Amino acid sequence: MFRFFHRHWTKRWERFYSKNRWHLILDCSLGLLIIILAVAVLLLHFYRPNLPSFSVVKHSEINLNNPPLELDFSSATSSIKLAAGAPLVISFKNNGSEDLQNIKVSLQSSNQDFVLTSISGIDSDLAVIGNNHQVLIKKIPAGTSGQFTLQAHFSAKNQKTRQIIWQAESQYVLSGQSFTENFSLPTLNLAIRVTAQNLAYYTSPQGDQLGVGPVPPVVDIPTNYWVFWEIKADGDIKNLVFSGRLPQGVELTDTRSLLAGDFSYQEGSRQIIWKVSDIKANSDSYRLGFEVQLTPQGDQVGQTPLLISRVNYYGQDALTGEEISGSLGSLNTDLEFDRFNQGQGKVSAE
Amino acid sequence: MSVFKKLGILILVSLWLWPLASQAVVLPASYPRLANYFLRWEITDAEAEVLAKWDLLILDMEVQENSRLQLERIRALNPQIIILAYLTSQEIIADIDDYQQAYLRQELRQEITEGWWLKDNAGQKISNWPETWMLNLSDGALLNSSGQRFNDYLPEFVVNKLQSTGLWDGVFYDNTWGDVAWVNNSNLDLNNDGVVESRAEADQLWSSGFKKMLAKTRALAGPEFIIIGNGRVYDGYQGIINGMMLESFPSSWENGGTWSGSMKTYFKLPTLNAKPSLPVINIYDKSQTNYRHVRFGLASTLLGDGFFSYDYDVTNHGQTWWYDEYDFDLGPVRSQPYNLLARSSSEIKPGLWRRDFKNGIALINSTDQTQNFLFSKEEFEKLKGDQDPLINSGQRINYLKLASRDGVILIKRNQDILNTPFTNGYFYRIFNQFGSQVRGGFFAYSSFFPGTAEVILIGSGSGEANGLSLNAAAGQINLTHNDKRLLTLKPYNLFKNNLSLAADFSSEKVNIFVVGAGSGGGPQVRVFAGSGRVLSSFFAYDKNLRGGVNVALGDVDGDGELEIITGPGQGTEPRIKIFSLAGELKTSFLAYDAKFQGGVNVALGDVDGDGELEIITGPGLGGGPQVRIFNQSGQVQGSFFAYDQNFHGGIKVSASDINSDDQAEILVGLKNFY
Repeated sequence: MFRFFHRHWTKRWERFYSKNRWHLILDCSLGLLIIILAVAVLLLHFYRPNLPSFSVVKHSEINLNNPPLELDFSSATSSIKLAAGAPLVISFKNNGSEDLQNIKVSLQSSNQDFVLTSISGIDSDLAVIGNNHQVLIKKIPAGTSGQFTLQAHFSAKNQKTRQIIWQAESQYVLSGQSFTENFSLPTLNLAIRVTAQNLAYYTSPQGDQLGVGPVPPVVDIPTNYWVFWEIKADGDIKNLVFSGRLPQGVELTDTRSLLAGDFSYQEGSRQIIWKVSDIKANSDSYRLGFEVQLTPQGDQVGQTPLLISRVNYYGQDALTGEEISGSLGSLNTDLEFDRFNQGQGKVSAE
Repeated sequence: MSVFKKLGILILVSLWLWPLASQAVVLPASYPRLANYFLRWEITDAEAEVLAKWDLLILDMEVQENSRLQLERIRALNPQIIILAYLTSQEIIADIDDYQQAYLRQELRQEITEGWWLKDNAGQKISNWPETWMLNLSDGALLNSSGQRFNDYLPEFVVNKLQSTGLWDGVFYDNTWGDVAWVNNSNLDLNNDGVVESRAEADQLWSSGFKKMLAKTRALAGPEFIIIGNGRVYDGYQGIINGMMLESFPSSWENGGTWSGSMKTYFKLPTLNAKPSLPVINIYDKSQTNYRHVRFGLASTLLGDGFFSYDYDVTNHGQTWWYDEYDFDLGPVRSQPYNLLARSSSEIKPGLWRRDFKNGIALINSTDQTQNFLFSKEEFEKLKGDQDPLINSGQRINYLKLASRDGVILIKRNQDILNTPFTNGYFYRIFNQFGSQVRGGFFAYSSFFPGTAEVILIGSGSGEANGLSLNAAAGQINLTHNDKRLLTLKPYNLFKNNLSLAADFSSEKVNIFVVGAGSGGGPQVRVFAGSGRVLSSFFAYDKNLRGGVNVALGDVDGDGELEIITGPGQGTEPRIKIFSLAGELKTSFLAYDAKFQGGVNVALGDVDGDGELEIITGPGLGGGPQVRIFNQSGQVQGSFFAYDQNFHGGIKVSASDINSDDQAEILVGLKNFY
């Protein structure tokens, strides 16, 4: 360093200062000016004027990285029904030393498939519902905590989507500071809507003869009917099992039609089982049809014998993992769904 | 030289000439075998068109002169038809010279000498039928100047005047009686000695003379010339002739006058007759619409191998009445007749008789009571007809209530769709080209294949599945023979949705198959050899579409080369395109309104039997169930709604000759019908 300055001083002395002393005076003046300006910059940097508007600063310090209000959002259920709305639990805690007032919590949907239509049912006096899907928490005393629940209501723009993604924004003012914080709310899964059917026909809805034999059924003469099981859902289902039992006097024929899955019949228990490992949402490709044969006995005259009983199904909602199940009861020869043969189920002697 | 020596020489000479004389008739392999006993002396053009539908025609010999063109027209329309020339063997119209259109009878009459008439002991000519004179067929008849009797002359007449024209396959000798003593109260002088013969003597003279006439006919005309007789069956003739007509079945004169008696005779004839045997059962009824009578006769006939005819009555055999049962092809025989009321007995007696055929069964209740019968583990379908809709209702049945002396033809339930693609598990209706349902609908399903797989079951020559099949499911093609997998490939690698499939094949192997990606895939068509080698690949529509493409395969323009017909998947206008196998676009046309974008399913089939393939289309999801039929130029040939017009779930179309009528039926499938 010293050598650098010495070499530089020597060069300038030989070239300028020794020839004219005004060069030396000019360089010294410029160097002094540079030092003065640097000092001025430093002073301005550390200058803290005592202006009236900054007088509140005298309150206790706020750690902006750890604001006093702690909010937490949770949902009590893993899936909801759109018509019933979604329960949302808002938990709050004031970690600061000062009371918090007028905290605004705004809710909104984040995906375009659903619109948040309203909020209702706040179960606490601490909060009220404001405009634009806003909840207003009146006051949270310092060091206190609590929670309340509300119901959020949505409308669907796209029936094929089952997940509601939404968010909240909190806003309050403390010590003159405006605090805003965004929260991702728990994703809401719409409960799967399953349409399962257990139908029996002799004649199809479009007039095709499916069954064979006399209708109404006649003693000792077989009449064949078709039973259809069908399932359709707005979400994927895993491991669907459909089952039903054949009553005594009703036998399974070899005729069937299967659009998906595996069919089996357990002779001992007289149980028909239809298994489909994966059901895709909104598909109409999950249908089983099978033919059963009723041969009425003499003691069944005047009765409407069952064709299949205890029809149940269960499976798993692939999205939520929740079990889905249902019971579809029994079908008899009155053929409730067969518009051509409905009510013609009583066994006749001849 | 004795008569028998002369006959022997004649037979030897004829043996050398037979190959030149005539060609063997071929009996129809399928049943029912239908005969028309149409005895008008001339036939119109319109009648010729209709008469060509029968398998066996018995036409008066005068048609040869009066309606030769029509006769030739019948032959042209139905080359397999058997046409016999009718003439009475033992009588002739008394004043035949007064008839204007009786050329052949007049010729015959000119040769008849006084000594050929059948006379009583007073020398008076005998008439057994109004306005006719009987002829003496016995050797008691006097010789003419050429040393011939009538039983010598008649065969020569038949051969020289009828057979020689090449128009006839044979002759129908009416009144082929084996006895004659019942005529004219037995006052017969066959040997012209002025004395009445005893009954036994008369019958013996008559039958031996008649037999001589038949034998000479056979000798002159050759073994392939059909000779059919009519009248009470006389066993002595049966080895010479090819059969008998059992007129007015069951006739009072035949074997006791009962159904059982006539049936015994009917069953016996083929064992006695010269080959081929062509027994004919004729029923006449003044009512054209006595369908029960028709069925009774037809079902009785179907218990044997003969031909059935139904007409007005003995005074007027000349109708072209056609019945619903005639249209159904029962196919070849599959069993001998058996009595369902006495399965272990073969005795011919009144019962509920059944005979099985490839495509159905014939049943007849010949008892005096209505019979109820429950088919064990069998189902049948009634014919679907307009004439007697209560019987031919098209209904599926597993039991039958059949009235006394009634018959019925039932269709075997065949739910295999052969030689055309179908979607496994879909429900199919079967239509003719006019949109009439020809069979009841059914679920096409085989547990060998996954649900919704596209499947082609390949049939053998006999029309039954031979175990070879091509199927496409979850993006994969499988060629199998029974349980053995011959080929597996994934035409679109990672694509796992359904595929559209079409193939060209013989009963032995698949030559070419064409695949189209299903919904979710691009409209890429891939063509493979039966070995799985890729022959070509091309996009039939905009490659950015993801509705897939539907394919059909066949020589639609008759150029001897296969074409690929495509229908788009969802998302574009319903444009049908015809490509070469290499993917060169030949032509295209819109199958439906250009705004419809639900996709179009396609199939090929000769639905009108003209030898050319028609393009059949069905709309995809969102369209009504309207089937359209186009020729190769895209001109609409037909259109119909296959299901309720309000159904918009989309339909699949296929084409196959389901009922063996040489026309493809249109199969229209849907996934769910409710």
